[in-house]
Amino acid sequence: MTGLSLESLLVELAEVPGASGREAGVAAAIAGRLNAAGIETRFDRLGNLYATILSGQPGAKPTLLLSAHMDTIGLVVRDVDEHGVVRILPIGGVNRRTLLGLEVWIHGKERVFGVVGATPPHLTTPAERKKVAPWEQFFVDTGLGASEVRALVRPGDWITFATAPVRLGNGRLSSPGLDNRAGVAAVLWSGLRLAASRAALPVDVVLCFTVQEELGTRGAAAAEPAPLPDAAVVVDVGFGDMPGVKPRDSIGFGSGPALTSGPNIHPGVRRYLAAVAERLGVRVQDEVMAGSSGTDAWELQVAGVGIPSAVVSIPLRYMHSTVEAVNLADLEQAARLLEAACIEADAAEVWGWSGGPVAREVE
Amino acid sequence: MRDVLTEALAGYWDEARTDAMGNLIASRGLDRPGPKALVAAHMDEVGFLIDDIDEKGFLRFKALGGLDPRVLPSKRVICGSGRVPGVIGAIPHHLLDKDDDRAPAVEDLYIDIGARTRDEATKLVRAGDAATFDTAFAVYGPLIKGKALDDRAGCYIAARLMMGDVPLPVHYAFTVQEEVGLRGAKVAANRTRPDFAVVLEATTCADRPDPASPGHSTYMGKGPVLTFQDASSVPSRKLLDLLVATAEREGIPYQWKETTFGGNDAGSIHKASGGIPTVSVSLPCRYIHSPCSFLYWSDIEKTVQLVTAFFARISKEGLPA
Repeated sequence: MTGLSLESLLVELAEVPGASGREAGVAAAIAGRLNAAGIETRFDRLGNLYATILSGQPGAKPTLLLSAHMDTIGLVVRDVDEHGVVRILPIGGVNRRTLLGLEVWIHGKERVFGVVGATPPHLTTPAERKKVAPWEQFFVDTGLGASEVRALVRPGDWITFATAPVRLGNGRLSSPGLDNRAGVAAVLWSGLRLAASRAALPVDVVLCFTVQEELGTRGAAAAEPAPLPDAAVVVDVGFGDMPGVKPRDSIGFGSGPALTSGPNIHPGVRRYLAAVAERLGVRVQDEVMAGSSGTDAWELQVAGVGIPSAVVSIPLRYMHSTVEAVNLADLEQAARLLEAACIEADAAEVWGWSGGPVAREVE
Repeated sequence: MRDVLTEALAGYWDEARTDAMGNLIASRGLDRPGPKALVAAHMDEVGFLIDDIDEKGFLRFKALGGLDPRVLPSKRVICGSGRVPGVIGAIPHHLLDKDDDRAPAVEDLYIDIGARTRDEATKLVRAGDAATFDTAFAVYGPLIKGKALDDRAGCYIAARLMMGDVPLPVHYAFTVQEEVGLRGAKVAANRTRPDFAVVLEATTCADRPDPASPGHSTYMGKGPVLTFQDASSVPSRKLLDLLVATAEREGIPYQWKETTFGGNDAGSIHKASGGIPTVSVSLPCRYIHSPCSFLYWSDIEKTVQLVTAFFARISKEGLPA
């Protein structure tokens, strides 16, 4: 951990390509960091990554799960035509308004550079030009000849965005993939610090990095953390305030992590996190979701016999663009909150949420 | 740009000046016999002019030159002489109406440099500062990618000609403000009063996705582009014929621009100084006026060859009668 800053960890994670369904590379990067710190990892058959950090204290303990999805949105190759033009479709919720002119990497036999184009404007009608082009009009151009492209790129190959991370003023970082490498960074960072202080841990901690959240929280649906945790805290990103977005639909950018409320959230877990934040001097804000929190918590809440769940959201501007932006201070506060929540946990309180150690046993 | 060109070319020109518009005008060999040539390429690129900084520190802008607003969301930019990094974002589509498929408009976009207030922003950037796309230049095999290839590629070719030394009296005008109305070229032509002019430009391809589409203009890989007419000028037919004859004699591939829209510095130069016989030789440039354009090295090299041979021929035979 010495010499590693949270910012450099975030940039390192953001730069590893890993679109939904193709998370092996980023999973290996995360596992590499954990293994180097002496933490064992395992994968399930869908590719979810788990790491267990056992408390150094004797006796039965509740288990806390910290979770973040490691996949990002991306593009997939539909077809390579006779001119070498690569037709594309989305992986996850890609915002078509962002696409035109983007530089990409196609992960084919080797990594191939390309630019996203669309039917040239003078070949469209005035009515069409006022709208975002439909998927059929988009393509990736590698500048290579058709036979060269076809030798390297096939239908089903995946594509990620090549925009490089950049530091903006006031400790902000902009990069593609901060949804959800920011969440991954927060969970990984906390996990590494907790592993270095097991003697102080009153709970066992399981880290879970899920796959395919962007396709509909599929990794979380398949997840079977063992033992089933007594509580789960999911870390994802939330809509940071910006022009054009109503304040009630967003959370303050730079105002600290948000704690979600709503049917997806166990109020006891949320109250506990708020209390930890207050003791820590971490400013938190509210995020209210009347149905699904839009995160893995929707699945984890009903996993097995049920996991009391909460969501911590890191404010993010320009979600699902290649210039997503976070405040490093918001990220740091989120990581501090996760770490403290594990260190300060009271076993009785945690078992109070889940029903206690006996009731958790599953046949 | 003037600084970069001066550093590269000061050892090659006889003299150079920056005129009242900001054009960099150099000359080499003015004491030689033969018709006096003007070689023109523009230094400016399409970009943004910051016209307002709002109370939250976001930079509002207008386009400088022709920009399709649909290429702007989700892009990195560099602002002002301080080269402050910024981003043009996009509203998360999750928060838009499902039926809202409107393309973004420039008025709704802004640059975020990470400032929280107008005061913070104005310490780094001011209204009136310009911003450009922030795209790295790179070469992948035969392909060049970068921003501003229109018309840095033209400037590059002009520089190569100066370094190779054209056997004629030549003015080299690295012009300003082409993108906002071919402005610098007018005064550069008035000052230099050449006998003929060659404009080096980048031009639209529209050869992808469908090379056979009726609207395509030029093809990457097919060599230098000759224009028989565009929206800003009709070239000198005699010079055009000589260019074609030179290409054919030297075995240099060339292609015709197959559309007549668009314009370049020839639009100003041909009308200046009582009328100057002018031709353009252009590079087929895909995704021109966007954050990331494409060129092939082979098209650049063929263009250097063609224009070099053209000048050599004029040096021997004089201008066509």
